This record gives sequence, structure tokens and C-alpha cells, in this order.
Amino acid sequence: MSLPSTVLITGMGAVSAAGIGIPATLKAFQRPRREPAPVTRFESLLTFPVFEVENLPAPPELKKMRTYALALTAVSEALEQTGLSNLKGRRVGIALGTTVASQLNDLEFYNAWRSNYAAPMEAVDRFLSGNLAAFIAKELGVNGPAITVVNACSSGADAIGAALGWLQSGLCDMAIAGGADELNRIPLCGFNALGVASAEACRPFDKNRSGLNLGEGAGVMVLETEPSAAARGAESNLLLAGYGSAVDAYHLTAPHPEGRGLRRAIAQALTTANVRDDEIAFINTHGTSTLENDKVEGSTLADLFGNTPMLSTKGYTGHTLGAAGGLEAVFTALGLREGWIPASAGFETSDEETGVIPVREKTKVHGACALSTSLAFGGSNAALVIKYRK
Amino acid sequence: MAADKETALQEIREILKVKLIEQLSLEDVKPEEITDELPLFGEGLGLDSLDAVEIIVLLQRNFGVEVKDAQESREIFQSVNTLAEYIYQQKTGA
Amino acid sequence: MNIQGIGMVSALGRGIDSLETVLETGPIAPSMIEVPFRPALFPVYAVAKETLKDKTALSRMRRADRFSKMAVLAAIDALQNAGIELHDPARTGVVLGTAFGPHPTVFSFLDDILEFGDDAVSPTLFSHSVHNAAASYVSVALGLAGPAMTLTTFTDPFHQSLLLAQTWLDQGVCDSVLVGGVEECGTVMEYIVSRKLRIADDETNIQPFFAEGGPSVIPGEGAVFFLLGREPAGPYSVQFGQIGSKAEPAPDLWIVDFECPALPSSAPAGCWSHLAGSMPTSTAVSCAAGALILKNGTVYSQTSLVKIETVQPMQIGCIGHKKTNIYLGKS
Repeated sequence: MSLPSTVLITGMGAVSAAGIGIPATLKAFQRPRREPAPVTRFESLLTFPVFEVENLPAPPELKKMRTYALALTAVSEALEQTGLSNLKGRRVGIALGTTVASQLNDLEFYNAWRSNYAAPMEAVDRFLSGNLAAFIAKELGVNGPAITVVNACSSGADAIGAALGWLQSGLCDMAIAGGADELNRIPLCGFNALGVASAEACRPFDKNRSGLNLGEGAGVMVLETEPSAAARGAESNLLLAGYGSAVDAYHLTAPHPEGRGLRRAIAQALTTANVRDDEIAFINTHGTSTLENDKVEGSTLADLFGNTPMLSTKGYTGHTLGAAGGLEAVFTALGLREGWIPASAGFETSDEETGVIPVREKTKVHGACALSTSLAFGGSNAALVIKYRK
Repeated sequence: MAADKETALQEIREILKVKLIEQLSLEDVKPEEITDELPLFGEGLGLDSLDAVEIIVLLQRNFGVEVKDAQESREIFQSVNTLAEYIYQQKTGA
Repeated sequence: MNIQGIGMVSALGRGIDSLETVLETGPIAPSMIEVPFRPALFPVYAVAKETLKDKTALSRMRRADRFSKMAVLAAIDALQNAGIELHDPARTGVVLGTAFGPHPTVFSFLDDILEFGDDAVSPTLFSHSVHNAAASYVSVALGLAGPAMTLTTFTDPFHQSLLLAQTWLDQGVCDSVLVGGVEECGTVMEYIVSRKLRIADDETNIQPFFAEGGPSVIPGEGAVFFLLGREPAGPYSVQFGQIGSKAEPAPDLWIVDFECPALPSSAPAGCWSHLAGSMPTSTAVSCAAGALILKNGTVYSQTSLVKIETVQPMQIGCIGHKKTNIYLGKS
């Protein structure tokens, strides 16, 4: 087996309640902004606060396909940074995580079906017109591996990991990877039913946390093998260095109490990146602000990494489900590039059970490597190691 | 009065047992096997955290009773007896 | 990638033997069910309730939906078919590819919203409506601790799943990978299929997509799992060639899915996937049929939708799957 080639991050795009685009996001990260509010995008009895993206530019044909509009906005931003006007003729893989856009869950269609068993096919056709990865592949006119990853809340991170695998296997020279999800009535109802939606702004790792706030957005990276970038005279100091993934094999909705899968995912990510745990400058956690996630993730990370600076960005974006892993990988890379990480918004009181004290203010970080973690329904765990080459 | 309460509780317990089996897909369990005092979680009926949130929906749909507080639910959800007591209290305001 | 074992759950029953039987003896009749959207009975290759009854295998799955049960049984059977013990559960991965996921569960959840309101829906239904619940159950049922990925595409979920499994094996992430395709049918899907395609009256007038006059289908459902490893093991001595390789071999036989729009001409071609009904994971069924053809040295010409007369048995060294670039050969 030949040594896997280095994979560069040559473009990034981010859309969330924190901002449309990376400059707006970095500005929002300067001070903890906490303005979740009841959902306005659709009717619901449920009034707990969520993080909506405001003023999303969306072409009319994507009006009912918001996840696609979110994804396209982030992909466009990421591609702009590569300096490539188009990708035609290149071997480009597409791996995008989502939850909402993978389901035929149109309530209008289903309501019509229930009333007379003869529903119009418009919603079905919209659904069938392409799933997320196929849609983006078609928009860009590329041919390569294309998958929509549906690993619930670790989808975005796992999509990036899958793309890393393709690139290192030589299946493509570039890949667009990350995740996208819109705020939708179905997860809103579902997370409320699970008893993990908070009535107030979320407080990841805080002793008095009472659950998550849903959010929406998209976060994507353009990944490229070093030879591919070199061939077109492109450079980047940011590398996607490692990925690990492992299941708990424990429970459908609860994480393993000792973080069994998370530990293995992290170990594998560090090994593939050839990075020691003491080289990690900071950890961008999953940190959803639910009692269980923060307890398991916090105590596992505290055990493995001691006082390494940590944060959760959920206080700026809400939990964006399938987009979270993509957005947080981008935020992790930004932290390394900018040399600082934002305050872990919402955290005030430390909790002995988590054993983690995330950064309370904007913090300078030193070092070349950082870790981003994702935990999901179904006991999926994913970890990404990102490197900054000075 | 006490006899009335006991009759009402008995009725609630019976409905509860059937609904628990139905809504939690406890295929192999018969209503009579769920004794009034049997612990619902851990040793006993062996329910888990996902069942706990499902029971909240069960109470809401079948009895019109809300459980909001997680701490409170821990005490209410110990057994069919404690559940029935809670439902009775909520319904009668007693 | 060596095929070490195959498990299959479909209208044909459970286990790879169920496919082998119909390859030898010919198609079975579909179930004729009542549907609310047309007066006539509707034919469907549905997985029978009894097929999904297995108290031992499904002991920790009382809440699971049919999608997850089909997946778990097929995965367990693949392992059993291989007849090997997994040495290290952390070195076995799962890749589950599906076009539509557990949509009947999604619809049940929508029923909840419409009937009981946003604030009184079932959390159990919600947690099963996500596509990766099935892969989670597979991991728990088999005690696996490696990576598990659920992916979706409409056109080639099984092909993309194989590609990912190959990277895991090539890069040493796993020693073996369970790769599966799972699709479920339900009344709403039957309605959608009936709006999109002509429904065959029975198993004798099924016509594939490449047939003159267009397709006439009977929808199906099921799960097919392959246990794949770097080393040969199990009963097949069959392997998948490098997926995505630029060097494409010239196969002795093409396998086409039911949904294939046109027939190749470079070698004889056959279609067997319709035996389990038309579904987006047909490619997995086709590959299972291909593995059996190579293992047994028999081209099942009587049950193919395409007449195969020019192929002598035992001459088949390589089978190509048209539409994707999947090739099967002897290990």
C-alpha cells in the first residue's frame, strides 16, 4: 500500500444563524450572540427557541428545497476560494450529510394522500429530482463518487471522512464534502418529543443546561489531493489530516456512558493523522447542551485531553443536525487559521459530571492541530483532525 | 370515598398496563405480568430512556395528563402504581 | 474484495438459499393485496410477516420497524453464510445503502403530527424515522464496534456502498465490512410506483425497462448484505473487482438490473433481480445472483428476463454489472 497522499482544504463555506459566509461568521464569533427565537419559517404549536438563517439568498426554484439552497450557498463560497471558475472535466467527488433532505416527508403531499388516496405528485417529483449529493453534482457538472450521508447528527463529519477515503484511494482528485440541513417541522416535533429541546437558549456543558436549540445551515469544504492542487498552482496551509468513526453498539438514542465509540473514533482519527493527543491545540466539541450528550462527551474528552481548550459553537448556530459536522469542521479550520477560537457561548457554571470547562471568552490558540467531534443517534461517533501547516 | 378512589385507580392501572404493552411494543409481556409494584425501569420491566419519553406521550394521549419536569417524572415513573396515583391526582385535582 | 457471505431477506424468504431456489425453479407469485388507491388487487413482492419473526436474532429490537428488522436479519445471515467468526468487532464496518430509507416509519410519524399535533408525537417513531436506525441495530445485534455508514442515492446506493467499503478495506480501517442494500415497500410507495410505472398483472408479464413497449413492474422490498473481506473465506470463492478502476475487464456475461434502460451487446446478458420484485436496491440482488452463478457454474437461463443461449456453463470467469462498474470474478 502506498502512503496516502496529503489532502488539502482549498476552500470552505459556511451558512448558519451565525452568518451567511465565513466573514460574517467570524464577526459573529467575536462576541457571544444568543438570539434563538420561536420558529417563523412554518406553523407549529411548538414555541421553543431555534436558530434560523435570515435572508438566505435562494433562487425561486429552490423555494421549497431550502436544504439545497443552504448547501448551494456554502458550496459556492467554498468554490470561490479555490479560484476555479468551474469544475467541469475534473474528477470531483461529492459527499454531503443531511437528515431532512433525505426523507420523503412533505406534509402537504401526505395530508392529501390521507384525505383521498390520490395525492398530486409534485412533492414526490421534487423529492425524486435528485438527492442532495446528486443535486450538487448536477449543478457543478461533475462526475465522481457521490453520496448523501445519512448518519443523523454525525452525517456532516462522516461525509468529510468518506471524501478523505476517496481522495486517499485515488478515486477522485477533489471532493466537496460537508453537510446541510434546514429547520423542519419533523425534527422540531421529534426532538421535542424526545424531551431534549430547551425552552431557553442552549448552554453547552453548563451545569444548568436544559437541552438543545435546533438550527439550520450548511458547512462544506473543498478537499483536494496535494498533487491536484500543485498541478493547478494552488496552495493551502490547511490539511484534513485524519478521520475516525466508530459505533457504540449500545442504544438507538442514548450514548454509551463511557463514550466507548467516541474514544475509538478519536484514537483512530489521531492515528491516521499521525498526531499525538498532546499536539491538539483545541477541541471543537459536539456539545449539544443536552444532559446526556454533554455528560458523556465532556467526561470522555476531559479524561482523554485534560485541560486542552474546548468549545461548543452550538450557542451560535443551534444544533444543525446533518450540517453540524460540516459547519464545525469549517469552524475548527478557521480557529487554526485565525489563531483564536470564540467563547463557548452559553457556558457559565461548570458541571462536575462533565468535568469540562469550555473557554468562556475569545481565546488565542497555539499549535498546529485541532479536533472536531460529532456524536449521533444510533451511537455513531466521528472525529476529524485538522492541521495548519505554517 | 376511599372505595371510589380505589375503583378508579384499579381502572387506570388496567388501562395503563394494556397501553404500556401496546405503545412500548412489549410483545411478549401480558398485562397480568405487570404487577402494580413492578419497577418499570432497570431490573423489573427493563424499560429505558426512550421508553420514558414514550410514556410521557402515552399519558398525554390516553389520559390527557402532562408531565413536564424530568425530576418529577423520575418519581412518577417508578411503577404502574405510582403512574396511576399521578393520573388520578391530576384528573381529580386531589 | 472477497465475498465471504451473503444474507438476503425478501418476498422469497430468508437466506441466500431462497434466491438460489427461485433461480433454479422459477419465479414465485407475488402477494395480491388490497390498496386504497385502486379497486383491483395490487401485486407486490412483500416480505412475509413470518419471515421477520426470529425471537433470538431480534431479541433487542422490540421497537424496531420492518426496515431495521430486514436489515438485521440479512446482516446476521451474511455472517452465518460465511461461517466464520469475526476476530475483532472493532475491525468490522457496516455500510448500508438505501434510496428511500424507512419511509413507512416517516409516514407513521407524519400521521402522529396530523392526528395528535406537534406536541404529542411518538419519540420512538421519530428515532426510527432516521435512515441510520437500521445500521445502528445491525451493530448492536452483531456486537460490532467499527465504523457504520448509512448513505443514500436514488440511482446506485449499492454501488456507492461498495466503493466506500473498498476504501475501508484498502486503507486498513477494517478487516471486513458488511455492505447492504435495504428498501421497504408500503402503501404510499405502492401508490407512487403505480403513478410512475405500469404495474404487471402477475409474475408472467413482468417486463424490464429495456423491453420494447417499456417496463411493467411488480414492486418489491428486502435487504441484501454481503460480508466482504480482503481474504477469501466462506462458500463462494468469488470477489468484486476493484470498483472505480479505469481498467475495465471484458466480462463473459452481463448482469443487468431490472431498471437498466438498454441491453449491452458485447456479451450475453441476463436479468434476475425481478425475482424479488422491482426495488432501488436491485443491484445488490443482481450481484447476489452473479455470485451464485459463479459459485455454481450455472447460468440460470430459464429464470432470466433475457434469453441466454450462447453461454456455455463453466465458461463464465467474469460477470459485469451493467450501469455501474461492478465486476465479479473468481477469487
